Amino acid sequence: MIYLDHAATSMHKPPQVYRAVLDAMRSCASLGRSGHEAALRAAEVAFSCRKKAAELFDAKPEQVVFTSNATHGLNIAIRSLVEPGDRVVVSGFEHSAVIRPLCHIGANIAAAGKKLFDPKDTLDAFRQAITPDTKAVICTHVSNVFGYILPVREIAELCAKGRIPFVLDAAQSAGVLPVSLRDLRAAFIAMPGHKGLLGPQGTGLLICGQLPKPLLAGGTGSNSLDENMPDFLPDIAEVGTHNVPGIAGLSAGLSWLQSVGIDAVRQKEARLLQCLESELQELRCLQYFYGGTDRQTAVLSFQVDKTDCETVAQKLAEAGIAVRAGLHCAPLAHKSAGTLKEGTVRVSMSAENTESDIAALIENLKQILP
Amino acid sequence: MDAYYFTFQSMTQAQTAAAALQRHGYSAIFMRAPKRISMTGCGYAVQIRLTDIYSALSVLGNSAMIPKKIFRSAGNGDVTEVFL
Repeated sequence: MIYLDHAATSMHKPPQVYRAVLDAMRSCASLGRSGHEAALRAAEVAFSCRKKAAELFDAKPEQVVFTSNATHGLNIAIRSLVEPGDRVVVSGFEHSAVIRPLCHIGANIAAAGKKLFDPKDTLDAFRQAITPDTKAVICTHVSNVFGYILPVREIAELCAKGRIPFVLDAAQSAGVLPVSLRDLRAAFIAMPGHKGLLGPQGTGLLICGQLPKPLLAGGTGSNSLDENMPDFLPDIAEVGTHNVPGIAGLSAGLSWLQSVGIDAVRQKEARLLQCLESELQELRCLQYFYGGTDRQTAVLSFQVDKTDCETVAQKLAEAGIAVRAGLHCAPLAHKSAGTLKEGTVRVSMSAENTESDIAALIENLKQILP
Repeated sequence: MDAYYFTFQSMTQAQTAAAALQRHGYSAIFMRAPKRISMTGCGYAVQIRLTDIYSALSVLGNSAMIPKKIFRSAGNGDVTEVFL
């Protein structure tokens, strides 16, 4: 299979990730509960993961909260900051992981910036949308549909000046672009462990610039006499038994990233994006959305004339090429780009892909084009 | 040398403190806090044997890790809280 669906999840992990998961399943008990060897080993695995994440994202270990995915982290962040009726500014490219919790709470959502690959327009839109009564700004770093890299550093600066909490959805940027809690002065940064960080599914990180409110309440292995949840990180946001094998795998993924370097990943992905674009421009009856490697990660959406996007994806799947079609859990992004009615086919590459993967995609697309 | 327990409000803080002390050459052991010193019911502590508690605390202070409480352990198992 040629896997071009990395925006959904990373399929092939570095070998040490599999080993770490298996080792943890065999030798680690639950962390934060007991004092025996297997429990302390689990505690060390978790601490090691927190330290690596803290180094990567410019935070302290206790600011690193383990979640089950980015959506979980975003829900913690949103519930910590937003009350019913609060004004919240988001970008025009947000995922349902942001929009749905806000709708569920009954927030007053203002979407700013709907022009693809236009950071200036996006920033201007945020500048206009952020008003004194804005309770929070939540912004995706990279659109999961189009790969558009939003100007989050500048948006974060606007928030800092206005003393408005800033939440970054780093689902598509963690492990691909630099993400810094310190530099962004973010309230929260949410990310999955299983995409760019190359950990297993069922893992995620919430990097906390401020104390969150508990989303769930339960046992934490700390302050047991107190019937209330602990009021300190990370315990306030971590209840129940941890996914220790997942955390072990995530830790191994982080180690791999640290050894390779995010810059190297980014450069490889940029080359792949350029290669894909240069091939797509030769095809007729196909429209694609491209902003250049400085404004786009290795995620690219396209539409084929008079052909349902799901049909295109299905035919590619039958040829052993994995992509995703439809609305990608981001109807707002499609609305902004004008692709809501038809949806798109999304190709999302990673540093593991090669130019021959792209060549195979193009060859098969030629068979599908009308 | 006396044995001391430094307790912290979270397991992660205790781990961070143990790592910092180990980097400075102390034999610091991250462990479950003995029940008799766990004021909040359950917790983790750093056990450390030393003659000079102030130098160890200085290491922790430089990293903004202040123990919640400090206990000294006598050879017979009794622990007493240390107030500095």
